[in-house]
Amino acid sequence: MVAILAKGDGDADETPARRSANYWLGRYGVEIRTALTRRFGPDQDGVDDAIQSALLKFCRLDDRDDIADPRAFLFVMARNALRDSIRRANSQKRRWAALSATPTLTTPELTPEEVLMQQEQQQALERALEALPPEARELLRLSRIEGLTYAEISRMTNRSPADISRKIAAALLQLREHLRTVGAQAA
Amino acid sequence: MTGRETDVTEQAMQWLALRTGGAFDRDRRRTFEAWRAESPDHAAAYAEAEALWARLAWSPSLNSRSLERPIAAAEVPPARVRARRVGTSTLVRWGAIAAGLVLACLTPLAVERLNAGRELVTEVGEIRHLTLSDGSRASLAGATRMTSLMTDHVRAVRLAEGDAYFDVAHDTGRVFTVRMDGLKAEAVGTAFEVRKTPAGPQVLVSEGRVRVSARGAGQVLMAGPGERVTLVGHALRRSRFDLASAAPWRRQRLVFVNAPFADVVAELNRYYAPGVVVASPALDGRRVTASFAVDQTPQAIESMTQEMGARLERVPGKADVVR
Repeated sequence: MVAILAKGDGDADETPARRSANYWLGRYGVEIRTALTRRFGPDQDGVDDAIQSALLKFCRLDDRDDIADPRAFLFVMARNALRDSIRRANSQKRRWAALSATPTLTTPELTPEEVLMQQEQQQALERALEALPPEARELLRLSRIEGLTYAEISRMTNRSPADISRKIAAALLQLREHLRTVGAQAA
Repeated sequence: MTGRETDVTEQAMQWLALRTGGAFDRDRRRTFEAWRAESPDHAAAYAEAEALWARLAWSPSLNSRSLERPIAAAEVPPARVRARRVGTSTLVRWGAIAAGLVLACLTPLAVERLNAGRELVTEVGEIRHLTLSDGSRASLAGATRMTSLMTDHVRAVRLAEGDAYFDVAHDTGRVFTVRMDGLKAEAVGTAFEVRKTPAGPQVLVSEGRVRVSARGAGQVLMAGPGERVTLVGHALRRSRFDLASAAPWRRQRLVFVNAPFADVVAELNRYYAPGVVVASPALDGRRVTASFAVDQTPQAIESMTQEMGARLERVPGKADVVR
């Protein structure tokens, strides 16, 4: 990773589609790496490998000009790659113990290609999220993005796990209603 | 939409929320499978809920927040009460408790306040780009410690250590203030860098105008693009710098043009973990011109030492000594 970073400056006049993996690494590599390392611990090889594989995959995407926020997009890809590798390594980490104990209950994941195909839906979802109360959004983030269990969120927020579960269900319902209303207006 | 459909959707969301929360035991799973098998409507509603859940993972706004303030594994309080550890872990725990208290009383306002008074620390060699809650962009160089406080009336940043570049969101109602070691820089919508140098704290203005003042001295001056103000003792000194090389570390590069070697070393030590020590004071004032990528620092130290006709002692696990 280090050797590539040296050349990571990239040319400003390149279009996003033509920008190299080195450009994206130079632009967001440190930030994504910091976030992943903080979250998943200092297993640096795993983190660097995940960022590399995310970058390679990202640069092979045909429609990446359509991505409004490449930084977040790359972050999700790197995080998914890291989670996969942790799962594969059958890590003993407490966080994943719950997942491996219930193998049929893994959460569904979208591939980057699928997300790109659903760009309009993603944008509508983004607007629906904006309409949520900040607390609901924060709970969704802690659960969906950070992957915390309700027991963990409960210890951070002093809300009961059942209360968190209810709030998340209500937020999801509100998101769905918002999306349906928008869909109905467009139709 | 019929009432029944709403009920089924609501149930589906409740099941999904339960399922993703971590504690989904065998009994619950059986009940869930039974519910889902009960009718095609249930299965369809649940599939729809899962599709929404899958898309949520890609939300730019949720991810941006996690990028800017990642939750450290240490921040999540442990489930059981464990033996009290000493040192930084205690601090981390207090931080987690404080974060818990803040989250405990989440209101729309409280969520905003999560950003208030936050401390940001970068390690040696770590460069971090982030957005402050007022929309201003900040880049932190290696080995930098910064706290920011954003309220309805105040935008205050304090740099305890290191080097930071600010692209300030325009807001005439709230002056953006950066303090470092007795130096104060104020702006309403500009871009500038504040850093610690061996001579004293320094402000480098890239865009707009910045009001720079020194604590206790009552001296105030306005600095424009390309101007650099250093607090030396109790006096502000104004000089010029090359705008083209403003805070190049943001792009993983270090650029020095005719800079005193002491300044170069101070900056190198933000990116080079073993560290560099100058053993001959005569070298401190020597002028150096160099440009290299951050990760080429070890090689750059070698070539600079050679050019000055000095000697480099490098022992694994210890700081480089230049004499």
